[in-house]
Amino acid sequence: MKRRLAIQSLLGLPGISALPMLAQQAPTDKTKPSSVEKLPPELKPPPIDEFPKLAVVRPDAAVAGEAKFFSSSQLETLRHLAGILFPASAGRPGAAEASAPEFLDFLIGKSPATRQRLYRTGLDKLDSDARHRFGKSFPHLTAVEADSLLAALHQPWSHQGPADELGRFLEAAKEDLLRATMNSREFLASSGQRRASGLGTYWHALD
Amino acid sequence: MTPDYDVLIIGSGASGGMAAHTLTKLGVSCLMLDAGPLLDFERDKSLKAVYDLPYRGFGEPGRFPHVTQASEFDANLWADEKQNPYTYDPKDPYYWVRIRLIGGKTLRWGRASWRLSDFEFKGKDHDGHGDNWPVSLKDLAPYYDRVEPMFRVSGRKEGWPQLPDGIFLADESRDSLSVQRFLDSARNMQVPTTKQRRSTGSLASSVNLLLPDALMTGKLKIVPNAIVREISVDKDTGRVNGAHFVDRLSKRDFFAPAKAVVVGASCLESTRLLLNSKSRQHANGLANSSGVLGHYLFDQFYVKNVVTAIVPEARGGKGARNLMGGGGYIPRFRNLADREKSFVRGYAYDFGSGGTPSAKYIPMYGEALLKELAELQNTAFSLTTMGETLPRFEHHARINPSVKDEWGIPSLHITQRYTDNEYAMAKDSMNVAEELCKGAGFEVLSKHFEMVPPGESIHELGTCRMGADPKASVLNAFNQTHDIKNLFVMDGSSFVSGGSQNPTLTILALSMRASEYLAEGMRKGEI
Repeated sequence: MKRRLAIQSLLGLPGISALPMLAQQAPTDKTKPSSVEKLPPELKPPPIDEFPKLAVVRPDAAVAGEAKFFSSSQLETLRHLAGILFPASAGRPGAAEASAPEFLDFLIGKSPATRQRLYRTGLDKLDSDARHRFGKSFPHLTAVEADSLLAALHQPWSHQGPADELGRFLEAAKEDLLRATMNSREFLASSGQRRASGLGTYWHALD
Repeated sequence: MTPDYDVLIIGSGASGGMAAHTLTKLGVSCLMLDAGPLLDFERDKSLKAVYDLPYRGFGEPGRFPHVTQASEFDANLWADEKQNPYTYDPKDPYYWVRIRLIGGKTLRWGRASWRLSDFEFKGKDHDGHGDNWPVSLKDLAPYYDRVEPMFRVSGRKEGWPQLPDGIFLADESRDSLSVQRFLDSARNMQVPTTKQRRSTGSLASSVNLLLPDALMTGKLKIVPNAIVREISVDKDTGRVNGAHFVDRLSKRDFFAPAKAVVVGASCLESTRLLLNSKSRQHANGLANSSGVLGHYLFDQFYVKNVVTAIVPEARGGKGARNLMGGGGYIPRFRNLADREKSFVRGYAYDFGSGGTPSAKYIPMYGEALLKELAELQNTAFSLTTMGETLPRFEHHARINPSVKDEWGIPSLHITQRYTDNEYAMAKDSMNVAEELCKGAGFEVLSKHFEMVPPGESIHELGTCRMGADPKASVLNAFNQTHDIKNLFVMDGSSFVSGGSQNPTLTILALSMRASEYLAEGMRKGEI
């Protein structure tokens, strides 16, 4: 019976009538009620007309996503940047704990070419500036060293945005990392408040 | 056998819904076609956590390059841009925001419900610019009077000529302390303020306020997923006799016959349909003997968060319990009695108190940013400008025959850009907003006067304008085409000018008035 329910669930089928072969077995069950009644409660099958609703999770709640878009050095740079911009704080996870860099690898990989270019050139520039100024890659910089490369994030906001490409990248990365972190399961679970749990009315795809 | 319909209504939003409501109550049988499906409010939505969405709330990248309003939660409600393409000159981007569902954009509108005044209807008389409407406030007021109660509009009467009062559910809500301070600042600067005027209720749409009553009469049939290709003309009489449409799902073609046709497919879709309904007799599109069809496209420009400020006393959650919250509206105050030097016409603001300012306004990162964001929770005060855009002949939509939608129907090429008048107004609005906030003792965090691209306010208007002169307009004062007596266009495309007021209430009033005129004309055998 458990197998039947599992198959129905996997196929997304609503009930037993959708599975003729299994449906044929039903009369057999009916003809031998006494054998079922003798079973201990934990082995008794659920009612034959039950429509099961199984708990499932999204893939990123079960396993880590595969990084596909950024090069390994770009991803390392992004991870270090994420840790500096949004560290874990006061019992709340930061960008790293929320797998925000890995999520952005997926998101930016799906994004229009201009956004992809902004990220790739921005990450490369951050790394090359680090090597030029400190003789080591960005992921190896201390927070104090990195701060000197993040000057754009100390500038007051303007609608035109920073004039240089690195500044524009940093502004975008700040906003995206913050959002990817705050919308993550890890971050929202840590808040422990229903109001802050990120619930919304979702409209399904229409026919 | 095909039943004999009196009126074919194309579109089911504010104008189509009101046409159906009005006509069926007067005994007129109607067939309504809408390009989209019918929402099932129980089946089609559910609560979800943002982390359970595939893109963590960012939305699918590139799915809606022009619909900034679409979130990942409601993305499926907006018209798909790949199925429904359009073009513009890359130098002048146009954001065409559409919903293809029974109920149209009334399913997602902001509900702001303002009457136009004679500063709009008779604007040319006031400042010599543009054209007058062929109607005045006096003509439309009786219809506003009936629409406002139907849509349960709340508000406060003020007695201002630029923002006529209506039949409101009285809004006697108390203002928060921060709003009171802002109102005082506005008073000192002689800038008028009032409560929002909004349609109330959990749903304020054609689908709950108009269509159910129309269906109850037994005089209305609604066909969803019906994408109209072309309105058909009887070669002998020169009158329209129905429309050809394709079923969105099966792509099967149909013909819907009727004695009269009401077009209410939304501003640009209605005009696209008329332009696509070409024939030997109507080589430039239907009802286009004037050559004006498609021209005088305008909207209202928005400067979102023209100023974002914080209320210092609210920092760290230390303010009084009633310090934050609420908001209001500033109607047009420029160029009423006096003439400003740098621009004609005027703008309005929405203002609101509460919420946390965006992290982008805070020049910090790391622990310092997180601390500051926590400190600034519920301290924000912001204004958005909504300004009048001047209608110009050169701003237009035309058919682009080389780009077709998924159903093979030629799409639009759209041309609209903001001009010096709008830029000057936007800049003025930034300066005034800053002064208002400073006068209230708020700390200004950001200011700018960058308008959103044309179209983004979703208040596209004109292209099928009303007018007294058939050589310079498409419609007469009753939304009836000058060229074809039994063809009416009842949506925002009929506007001659738009002011800074949200247009839906006026679309509803115009549609009610035109529908009564149509029903009476049919009764008398004149239409």
